[in-house]
Amino acid sequence: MGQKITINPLTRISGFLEIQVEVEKNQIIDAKSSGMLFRGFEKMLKGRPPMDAIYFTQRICGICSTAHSMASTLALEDILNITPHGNDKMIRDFMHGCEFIQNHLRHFYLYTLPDYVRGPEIQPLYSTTHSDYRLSLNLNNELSKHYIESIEYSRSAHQMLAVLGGKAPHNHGIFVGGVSVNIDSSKLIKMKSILNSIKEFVINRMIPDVFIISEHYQDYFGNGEGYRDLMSYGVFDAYSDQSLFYIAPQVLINGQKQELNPDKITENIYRAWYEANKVEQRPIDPTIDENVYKEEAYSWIKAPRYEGYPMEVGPLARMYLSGEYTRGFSTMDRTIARVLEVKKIIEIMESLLERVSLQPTPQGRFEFPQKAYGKGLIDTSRGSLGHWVAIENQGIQNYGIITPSTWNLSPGDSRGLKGVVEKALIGTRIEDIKNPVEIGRIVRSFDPCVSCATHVFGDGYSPFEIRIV
Amino acid sequence: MIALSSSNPDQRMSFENLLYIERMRLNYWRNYYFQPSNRENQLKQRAQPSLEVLADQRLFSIEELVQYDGSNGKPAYVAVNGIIYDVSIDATWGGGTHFSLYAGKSLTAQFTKCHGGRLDVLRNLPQVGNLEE
Amino acid sequence: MNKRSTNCPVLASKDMTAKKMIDITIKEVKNSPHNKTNLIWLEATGCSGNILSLLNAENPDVIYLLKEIVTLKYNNSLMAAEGEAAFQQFLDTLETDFILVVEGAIATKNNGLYNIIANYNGKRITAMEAVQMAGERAKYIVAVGTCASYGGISAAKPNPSGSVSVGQFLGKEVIRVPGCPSHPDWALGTIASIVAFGKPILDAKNRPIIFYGITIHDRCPRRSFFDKGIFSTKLGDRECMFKLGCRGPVTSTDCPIRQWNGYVNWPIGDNTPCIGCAQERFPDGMEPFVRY
Repeated sequence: MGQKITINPLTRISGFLEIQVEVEKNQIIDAKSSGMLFRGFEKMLKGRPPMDAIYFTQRICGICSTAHSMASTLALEDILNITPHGNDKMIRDFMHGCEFIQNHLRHFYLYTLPDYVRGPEIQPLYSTTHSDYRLSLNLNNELSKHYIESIEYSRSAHQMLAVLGGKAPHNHGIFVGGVSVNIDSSKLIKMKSILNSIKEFVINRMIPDVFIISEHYQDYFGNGEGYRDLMSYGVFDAYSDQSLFYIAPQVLINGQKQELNPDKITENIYRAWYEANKVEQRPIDPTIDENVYKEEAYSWIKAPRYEGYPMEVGPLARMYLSGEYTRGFSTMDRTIARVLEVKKIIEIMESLLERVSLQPTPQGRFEFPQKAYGKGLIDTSRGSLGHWVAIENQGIQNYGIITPSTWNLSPGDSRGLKGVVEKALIGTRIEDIKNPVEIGRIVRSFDPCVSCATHVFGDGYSPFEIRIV
Repeated sequence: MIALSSSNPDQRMSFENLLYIERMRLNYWRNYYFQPSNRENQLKQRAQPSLEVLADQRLFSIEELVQYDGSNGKPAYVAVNGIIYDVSIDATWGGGTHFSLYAGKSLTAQFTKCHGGRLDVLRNLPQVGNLEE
Repeated sequence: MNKRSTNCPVLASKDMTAKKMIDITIKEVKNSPHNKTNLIWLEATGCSGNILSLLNAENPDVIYLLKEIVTLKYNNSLMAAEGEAAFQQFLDTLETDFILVVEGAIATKNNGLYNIIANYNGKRITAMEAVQMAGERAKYIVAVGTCASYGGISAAKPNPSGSVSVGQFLGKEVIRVPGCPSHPDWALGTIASIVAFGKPILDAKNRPIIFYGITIHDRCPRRSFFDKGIFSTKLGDRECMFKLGCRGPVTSTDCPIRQWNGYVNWPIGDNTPCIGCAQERFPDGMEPFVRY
């Protein structure tokens, strides 16, 4: 019988997460990741006009709202069977890229760095609880300064997004049929200039910073490995031009690369606070009802599985599958992959700016069929995001959402398979039981977003239990 | 009038502006029938007898009223207490909808509940007919 | 305090001085080092978009706020401490003078178990409890964002989490700074105003009048199109967005003037209708957001 450690709130993430581990002889033998927030977006969307879903689902999350508007728009365009004009697609991808940059900058500096670097002397940005800070005083102060600088650059990334989308977070601009902004040379040069300054910061500060940290914390290359099964829905993949292409949809299971088949995606609600007639739900199955007193459950997050496998998604999955970063699957690898991804995305965005033509948007007016079904799958800052929509009587009948954090932070399922972050924690060596810093560091490397992970809806099927960790 | 003799130029301007808008509205309803980018319809309307004459006599059935829901450039009509009002350019009826209510319906119950039956809210809305019993 | 019956002012002052000094010292010790007020920014049942938006603040930016204006004692997104140590900071701050900022609505279903923000001494603390604890003792309570101010999207039909606004939950006067998310200037400006001058002047809906009260419609650059009846028929058009369902006429914020993210753009300027995100009835009463 090991000693139980509970960390709640697991701060410096998006949303509310509780992590409970059992430690024996300084090693984690069991872990539970619990989502601690549920609002019920899927239920809320029922009956609403389909186009409203774009602005509605954005508000699932503040840091990844563009992602939801993209997935929602793609799902609706799938229903209408339209593809936006090439130029609009590029502008949309650019806007999506802005959010990637903003997220990764904030995640690395504001969320991750305080674990390894004693923060600037401003409350509450520095902690006095643990002392596992291994950087020399000089290096520490350097990185601390960069923390403060990063705020300006992540802000600029949102500013770029606002130039095209009206405001950020919760931008407008991305809509069925393309975008709404009429891009002109003044907007273009503004974005070029902001992108340039962010690029300089990333190359000269962010990337060296992550390598400094990885040098001093080499033991984190040896922990935090999940199942090594990776997945990506593809992003920046509508282009044949290599300078614009990032990654196509694919999965990696047991070392074998395969094409992605979205029909293999299910959600298991066994360990989640939901009730349904089936424990294994498909995304478009009818809504599930909540039951927060369910015995064996411990999370609001549902357990999505691909062919029964828990899949890891996120920057590491993308960088690994696209061949850009294949060093490993550990905590530090995940963090490095995220930082390197920023540079890759910036390069893609620069190429997009070169190719975008300055013309007004060819938007249109759209009418929805009486009954239809569509899905929008796209990879975003944290990994694979999917929206499944079923329409009846021109209103939303079912809306299913599986976010990247649902994949990463999933609880166990009815087959006993632990979720990805739980598996990553199990087997970790804890140096100091009183200050288990390893737990927070490993969990944060997944970039959790619990507001996303638990929106649960479900018609019928699955109760999703999302554990917000 | 007090407004026009106000010593504050901003106030004067704003009241003059309001008067201007009312005058425009009056003209609008007397002579024209705007539809977005639809000149032919506009000319056709001019050929018909003026709306003012028809207003009090036109009877709408519920099925007819449903057509005037404000979508796709159609006018937005709402029935309250049997009288049909044109809310097409009422600022609070953007896109033919008003706080989750859609035009093209009889909204007497909702009106009474929300506005406490205060008829002065409807006073400036043009009336285009009556609802069939 | 014993008053000696004497007419000697020197003796009398000796009686007073020590006590006065102690009083002053205690007061100084209780206040934070630079006489900055403590602030708790509590994220409740929402998307945490408002703290994100605050990070987008420019002149003053969030670092200025944290260095010069307030001492932020607790915030789920930014604070370095985690777990019980983090929640301990929350509890410690309750003993001092502090401003409570809440973003996100308050989930009340099943006793608040739909939103748990901490696990302290083996007990799960719901957002409901935390807001109750802090709301009882805060000097000022500010509800930032539409969810905290009015229930917002967390309370959208059928409101599975039983979310209510902060004001409704606490039954107290709460300063509202709605918006989805709230503009960083509005939130930061309200906090700064409280710190410097006390409670700001509020309108009938408890919103600071320097930011709210005049509709977007009345200050919209596209108003002349509305007045002449020239309307856009689809997104991307440059005319008035009224026929597409613009909620500018019923939303009272300064978006047209202040604009967003370094004052570069705003939704109508992006050729899309306003969806009334700062309006009391957002989102149910503001739908459909776009209608052709």
